[in-house]
Amino acid sequence: MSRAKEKANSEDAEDLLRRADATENPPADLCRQIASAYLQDSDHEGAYKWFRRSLSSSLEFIDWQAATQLLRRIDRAKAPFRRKAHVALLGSSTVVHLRALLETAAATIGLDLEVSEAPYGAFAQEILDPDSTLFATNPDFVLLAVDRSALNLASFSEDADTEIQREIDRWTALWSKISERCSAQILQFNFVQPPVEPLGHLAARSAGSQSAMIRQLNHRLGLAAGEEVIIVDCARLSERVGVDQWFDARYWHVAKESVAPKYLPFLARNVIGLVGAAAGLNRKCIVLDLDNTLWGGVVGEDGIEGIQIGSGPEGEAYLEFQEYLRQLKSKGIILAVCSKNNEGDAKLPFQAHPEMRLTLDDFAMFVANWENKADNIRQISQALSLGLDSFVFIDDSPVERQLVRSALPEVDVLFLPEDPSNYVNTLDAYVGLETLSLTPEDTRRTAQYRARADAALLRSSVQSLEEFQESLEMTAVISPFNEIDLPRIVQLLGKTNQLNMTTRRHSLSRVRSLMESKGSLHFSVRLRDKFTDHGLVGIVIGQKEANILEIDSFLMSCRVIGRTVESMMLSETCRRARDQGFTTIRGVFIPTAKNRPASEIFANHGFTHVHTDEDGRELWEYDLGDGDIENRFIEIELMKSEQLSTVE
Amino acid sequence: MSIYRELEKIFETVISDGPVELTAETQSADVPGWDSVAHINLMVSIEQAFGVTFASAEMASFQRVGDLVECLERKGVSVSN
Repeated sequence: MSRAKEKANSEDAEDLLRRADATENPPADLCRQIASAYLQDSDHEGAYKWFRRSLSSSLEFIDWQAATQLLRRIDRAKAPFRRKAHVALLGSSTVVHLRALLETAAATIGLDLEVSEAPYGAFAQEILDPDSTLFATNPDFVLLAVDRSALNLASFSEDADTEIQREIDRWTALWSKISERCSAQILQFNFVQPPVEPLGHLAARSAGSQSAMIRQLNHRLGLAAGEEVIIVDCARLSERVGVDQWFDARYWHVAKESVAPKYLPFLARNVIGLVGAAAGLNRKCIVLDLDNTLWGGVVGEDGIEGIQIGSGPEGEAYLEFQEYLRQLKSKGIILAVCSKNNEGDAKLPFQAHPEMRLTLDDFAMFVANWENKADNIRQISQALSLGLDSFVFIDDSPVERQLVRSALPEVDVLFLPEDPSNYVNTLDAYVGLETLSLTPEDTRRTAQYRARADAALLRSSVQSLEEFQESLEMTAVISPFNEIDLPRIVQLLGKTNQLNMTTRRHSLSRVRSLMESKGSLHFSVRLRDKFTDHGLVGIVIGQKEANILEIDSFLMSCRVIGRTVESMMLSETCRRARDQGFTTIRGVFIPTAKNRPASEIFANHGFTHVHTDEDGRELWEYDLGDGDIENRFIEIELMKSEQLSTVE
Repeated sequence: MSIYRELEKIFETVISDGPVELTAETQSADVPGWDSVAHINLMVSIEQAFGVTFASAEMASFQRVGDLVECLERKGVSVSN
């Protein structure tokens, strides 16, 4: 800013403000000019506000450099910062440019951040040297801003697994060392794919290639980090902009910049999203408009048939946006509605439109009236006991956005693009909703299951069906019918079509009488494996015919198809039949339009075909003198009640 | 506006809050704050502002502002009005 311009008198300042007011998103340099004018008047709060504004929608390097210069002139004690924190920055190559931008990005979220930088490349020495100065200041955060050059991976490895494990051991040892020396929250960059790969596409099927090892390393590093260490997912950020853009060989050769400088604002903003989450400065609640935000059109005018949601290009875009919001909600973000509508009209799509992804239950509050939105948001803030600085406001109307922005400066207002196809990207690029762990119990459980499933797949290159079955670690809980299970048993008898040998739709009272008839055999099967509990999924009912046990019903839910549950159920039938003194099991197969999948079960388990009548009804027999049918993969657990009482 | 005036604006924005005057003979020692860190900031900003790409050897070769301007002109940059 030249001295001449700084002589701007108050008239000029008013003129600048008028120009800025004419547009929702004034250019960054105009915002900086206004900030400078405020500084002329020693109004640091006003200058800070326009400093923030200058970066609200720019990721241009020059705007960030300029804002960084501007920030140096603002007296932080006089600006409304919410929190102070200290970061120790440890890099493996040049991080000096990142350092300045971290402070700038932090200032945009009201965090007064002081960053101290370790000597160039000396991240390990700094951590290991007991006399290093970095920890003397007791930092709140330690940021390991490392890059691929810090790895000791061969260009091609014959033993990738060992090399990767060595890296994991090395990084986790550094984490432990840091934790010994201070109580700082650790953040670590993960590793970006090499921009070139001499192996070409072959790398994708060579565990020892650089790209495969880095992928694997990132995966394991994430698992090792757990809840303790925050991973900055540079790998994903670099994929978003393109790996060959993220790394610019020229800047690497000239100045050992491992990230192309023009992407440093983007990186800084993401790092601060995570720091903000750890400092408790992130947003917790999204307040949403409805018309043209969650669906296309105006429900009060177009009616429920007229709004765009679900099908058609616009409808699909809104559906995706709803789905994204639903997923934010399941990671713990609170959703609320603030709409200018009659309440009945506003709720109707949620109640009656079949394509809606969000339901009324997804919202912590639903405010639809004709009041001023700023007042409504204040009311939501009070009702939810959340400060205004916990809110993000999303509305397609620039007028409403501008109103909320000026009336409630604490609320973050998203610039929603015109095209609903870009809503999701815009919200995804907003870093103020980062969370550090999944709070709702259910979500956490799902994620753990998924992680375990992924790990299992990676560990075992499943070579055969047998190995697959074994790897599932299946357990069946067997129980004679009891009153508690009866409703589910009758339900399964009534609706199971495919894996059902006889398709006899017994009623509750019929099942009760079968249970009571002398010499009958009945049990239900619950199945669980290492990933999940499938619940009650199998039923066997047998009737006594002299020394023959005739199978009246034999069925399985199709949830467990291909899990060898039928072998286990036949094996258990053999054992029980033998204990009860039977010599033969008679299997009955009654073909229907839907039970072909069950047609081979008796033949596959050593039954002998005896007879087929004119209706196609097949009779099969198994001689218990031949030993029990084999159950290889499912461990059997008996219900406690059965272990205590002796089987009849 | 000449290339020099454009560059002055960038220098003022990126490395200093005071006015900067550049001539062909200006060297880094003449401009407060123009150190090796600021040099990278300038290179990135100039590339973006003029829509050009410097070779790595070029970035390291600018002894005087005149070298930089010649390089920009070689790359077809011309600033009028």
